[in-house]
Amino acid sequence: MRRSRLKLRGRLALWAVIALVLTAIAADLLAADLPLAVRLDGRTHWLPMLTRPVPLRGATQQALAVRAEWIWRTPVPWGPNQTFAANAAVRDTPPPWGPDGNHWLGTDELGRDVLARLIHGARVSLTVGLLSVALCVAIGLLLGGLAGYYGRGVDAVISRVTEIMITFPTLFFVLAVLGLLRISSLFPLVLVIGFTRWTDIARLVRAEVLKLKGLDFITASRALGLSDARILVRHLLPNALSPVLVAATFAVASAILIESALSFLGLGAPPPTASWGELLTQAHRYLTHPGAWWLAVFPGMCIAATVLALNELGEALRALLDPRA
Amino acid sequence: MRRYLVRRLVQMVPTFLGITLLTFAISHLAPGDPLQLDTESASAAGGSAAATAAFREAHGLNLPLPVQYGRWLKKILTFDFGRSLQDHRLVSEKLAEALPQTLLLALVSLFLAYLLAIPIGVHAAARPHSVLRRGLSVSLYLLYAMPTFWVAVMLLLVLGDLFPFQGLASEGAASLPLPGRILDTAWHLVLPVFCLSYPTLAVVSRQVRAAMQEALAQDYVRAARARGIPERSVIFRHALRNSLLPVVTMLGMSLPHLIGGSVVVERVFGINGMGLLAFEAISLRDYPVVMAICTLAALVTMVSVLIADLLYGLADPRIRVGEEA
Amino acid sequence: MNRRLLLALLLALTACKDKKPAQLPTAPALKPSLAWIKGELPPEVLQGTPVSGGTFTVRVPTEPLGLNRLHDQQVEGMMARYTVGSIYETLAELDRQTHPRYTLKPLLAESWEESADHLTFTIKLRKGVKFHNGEKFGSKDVKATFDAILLPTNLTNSIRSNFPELTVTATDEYTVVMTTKKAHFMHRNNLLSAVPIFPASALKGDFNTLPINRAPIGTGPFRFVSWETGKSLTYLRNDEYWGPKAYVDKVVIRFVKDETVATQLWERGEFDLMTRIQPSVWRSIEAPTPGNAWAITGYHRINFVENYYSWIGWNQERPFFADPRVRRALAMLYPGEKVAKNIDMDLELPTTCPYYRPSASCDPQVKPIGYDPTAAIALLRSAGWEDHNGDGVLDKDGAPFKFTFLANPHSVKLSKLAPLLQEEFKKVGIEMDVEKVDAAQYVGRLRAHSFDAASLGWNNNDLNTDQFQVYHSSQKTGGSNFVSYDSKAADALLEQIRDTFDDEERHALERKLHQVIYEDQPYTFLTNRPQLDAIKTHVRGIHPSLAWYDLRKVWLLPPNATPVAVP
Repeated sequence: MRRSRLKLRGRLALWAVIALVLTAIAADLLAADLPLAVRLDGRTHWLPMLTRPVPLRGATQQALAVRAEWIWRTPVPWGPNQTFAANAAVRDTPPPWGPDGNHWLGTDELGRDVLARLIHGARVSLTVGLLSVALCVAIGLLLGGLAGYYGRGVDAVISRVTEIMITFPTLFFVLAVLGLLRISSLFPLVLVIGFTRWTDIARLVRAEVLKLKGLDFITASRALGLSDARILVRHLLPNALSPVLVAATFAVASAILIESALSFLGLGAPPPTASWGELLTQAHRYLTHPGAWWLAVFPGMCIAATVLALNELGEALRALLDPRA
Repeated sequence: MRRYLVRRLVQMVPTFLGITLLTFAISHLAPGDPLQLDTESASAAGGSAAATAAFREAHGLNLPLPVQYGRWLKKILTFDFGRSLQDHRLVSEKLAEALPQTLLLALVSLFLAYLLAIPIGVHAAARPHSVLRRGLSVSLYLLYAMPTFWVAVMLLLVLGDLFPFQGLASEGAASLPLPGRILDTAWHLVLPVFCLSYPTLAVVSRQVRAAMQEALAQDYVRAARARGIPERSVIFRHALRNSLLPVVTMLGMSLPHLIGGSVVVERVFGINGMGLLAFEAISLRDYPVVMAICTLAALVTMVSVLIADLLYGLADPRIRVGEEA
Repeated sequence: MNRRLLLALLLALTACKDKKPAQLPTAPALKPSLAWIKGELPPEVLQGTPVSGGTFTVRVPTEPLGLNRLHDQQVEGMMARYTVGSIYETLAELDRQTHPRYTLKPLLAESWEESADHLTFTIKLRKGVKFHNGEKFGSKDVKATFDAILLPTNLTNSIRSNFPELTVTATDEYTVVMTTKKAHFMHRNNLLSAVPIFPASALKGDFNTLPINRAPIGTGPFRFVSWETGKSLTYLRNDEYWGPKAYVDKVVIRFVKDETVATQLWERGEFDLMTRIQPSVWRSIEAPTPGNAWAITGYHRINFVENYYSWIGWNQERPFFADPRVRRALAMLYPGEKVAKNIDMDLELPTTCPYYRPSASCDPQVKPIGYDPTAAIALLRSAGWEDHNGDGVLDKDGAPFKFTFLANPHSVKLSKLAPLLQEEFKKVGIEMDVEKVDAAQYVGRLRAHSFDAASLGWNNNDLNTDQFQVYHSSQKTGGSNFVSYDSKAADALLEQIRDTFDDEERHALERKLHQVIYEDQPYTFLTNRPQLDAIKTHVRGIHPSLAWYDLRKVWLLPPNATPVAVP
């Protein structure tokens, strides 16, 4: 009874994560300033938001709808960076504008569609989450594997380094390093999160390698004269992968949280990158006079749902891969 | 026992050196200048060479970095944190202003989180099918996925009319009688404490539940039940005592987390605590303040890890500290 | 559960919105007066017989690093205003009644004489003035203050740079002679009205850690009482003041950084003077709804143009920006109207001039460059920038038009411009990346010319501004000519202006300089920032000026007094 429910929750979480990944990949097709296809002046343009043909430069879907022979619009007819998009001329108040028929989730302070920015924000969150965790896993496998396999001096040094990294306040490290790097892309964020969050994985790998090291098949490999590197890479680490996979799933969730918190503090990706945390920063400026609740509610829900889904998926994976749990 | 303690303390030295060295290197290598003059006034032209040189010399900023680090280390041994490069006040004075605010916040939220988490966890384990348990664990689980800064912004958005927006005391609260002052501070604490305690609450209550479930399945509990010992007594005298172990460890580990990780909450609620102080010091390249906060955070973390380990030993006589821990 | 929780939150939100009107069922829907909308004070504020007493609470957006106006790290524009005039006094002050000319009026000096060659100032000091610590004020204090400024190892460069080769001698207890080697039209104002006089005894010791940096001692109408870090400054009236005593008993200057919090506290009526209101907030309280009654009936609003202009600077060491035609084209791409309407809320005033807007130094004939992408494209083409290879990006000699904009970390408004510019430029085929740096790096990067484009604002508390260090070609290194603007015509004018002492003559030159600079477009000139403040309706005797408010004149109408009848 319990077990099957856990499975169901896990499956739901998996679908949610897949949906998120698809959203991120297809963000340009879901929300863009140009349509999916349009026929204009006797020429058909397919996916102009990707090809950016010269005749459509500076055009919007709304403007094209009037001029074109036919048009196939994107589900959300706004680009993430399209400012003062809808009816700026007729509005009598400046943005942020609340949800309405044009902007289902409202706009931000530059009149950019919140839904479009959320969709493209998924890409940022996921990129940062996945890349930084890939880096974490790489560092963790390397250091944890070395520490576990060689023990003694190597272990002592690596354990001390791990301890330093754990003791070091994460946010502090991130703030300092972001100051060091020039923030003109997502790359520094990925690096910094990757270099701070590897400790859990390293410890896991070390414990796992320690456990496996004493087993017969490793002793046998050694007796066969296999090199250390070969034993480590071919035999020990693959066996440690399942707990790492579980830990990595949780780490993606935490990396996404860190990214949004950093954006909230103004240290996120540079403009015009759409990021969930950046919308929340704006929300903090518009609590009252004028209030803009939609800037807080929707991005927050996106972050929470993503983190929830990833945590659930992690739990489900753990249940699946670790028979003891 | 004593030998163990000594060994642990000795081990702390390289960790401490590593952390401070890392902080020192990161903050000094980051581009930017503590002598950053105001941008708003046109008259703040380029610095005069003599004054800037005098400033650098007075603060030893012209020396090679290793020498600077050595000087810092020498001073820190006498608990001399130096002076801020920005307002030239004693760093210790600045810390004395910020630390009480952060500590108050951290201790109250930690206390409340544990006060609630243990009964919730016990209840969840003892009555796994009650509606209350389901409700509690689901809502805690959901809360856990929500980023603190979002919850903070949402709370201000929804409850901003009821609770104070900023700081830990009202203007003029100092003139109130003591009970009034306590009430005033308590009123200010409600929202930030909620934000800081719910993640701990969620994690710890799950931990307690898991530990309790495990304990309740043990033979000795079954034996106690078979002997006809009342359920209440079984749960609290037998099972709970043994499940507190991991909780104690977590308590030790979460103290530094609360001290270092509150920059977001402090920022949203305008509390001039350590988090904000660190954030500002980093962005202004106020090296002495940065180093002082980092040192403090590292010390607190290392000591609490040690205390957690010691408590672990006390709570579980099966683990004898002194042997390989 | 999830959905229910969110539903409850949303309900609570909508409930909040409906609640406010319900709270004030009897309050009439008020229509703010035209003067209130425009931010002009009603005449009764300056009428009536002053009474003493009360506490005057001011909200300010930043906490200073210290209160030593002379210290480089403590000179921030607003900061000077908290202490100079209230705690500290200068030798002379800008006469607030003479807006927008701002002539000098004696304060700690009784009189002064300027030699015909403008090199020597002989200053007679006021007698019978005492510092708050009881010491007598005299020429030794003036000399000590100037000596502290002139000592090269003190961090007083921002003020010292006004006084090259200055010597100050005290010829007797109440006479000071100041001599410079090179005349300059700003010397009179800089010497007399920009330097607060400190007691000589308080200037002994390490300049960075002087006790007066945190607990100032001056001669002014208020004396410093306390500074609660992160909270407020408190001043009490100086009952031994040499001149007419101030009216209010106490001044509390509260530091509230967060704009949302400040607005909340303001709405609760905690400030007598609310400063730096955000344009969005300013506009949002104009609707004549009962929810805005607190502001419409409780406060008078003040909209006063500051001597501040913001700009986007194009680094002219970069090949694309060296050509004035390109810079002009970029100005044509700046969506001024969109920004004015949607970001500035029609509160900031578009400008073309580096001088104070209402002054005679700006030439009203200069025609602003409007938003005109078509003309911009044509202009770019004439400068050789065209999309030759059809990749959607303009290019010239094989190099694409691609540059990086350094986002301003100091100003929310200026940082908002980046995405807008990016969008506009993209439409015509110019690629702009944005780089974020923190506050500790920003100005350093500008000073090192290590940027392509950046935005900033220049601010001055005085009416007169010497544009030399911003626009003269010699100021590329060491000065503030971050964009490496280099024009023979401008250089000649800037040099001539420095030596022109007749106001009319100088204003004529300044107007010419305005034309030259606007023609060359080293910057895309943006706006003049207004000072958006509000005072409680019971505050009297206050009016805005370039020298901020005169706290000596402020008085509070007692709560039960009948309002003064307006004739």
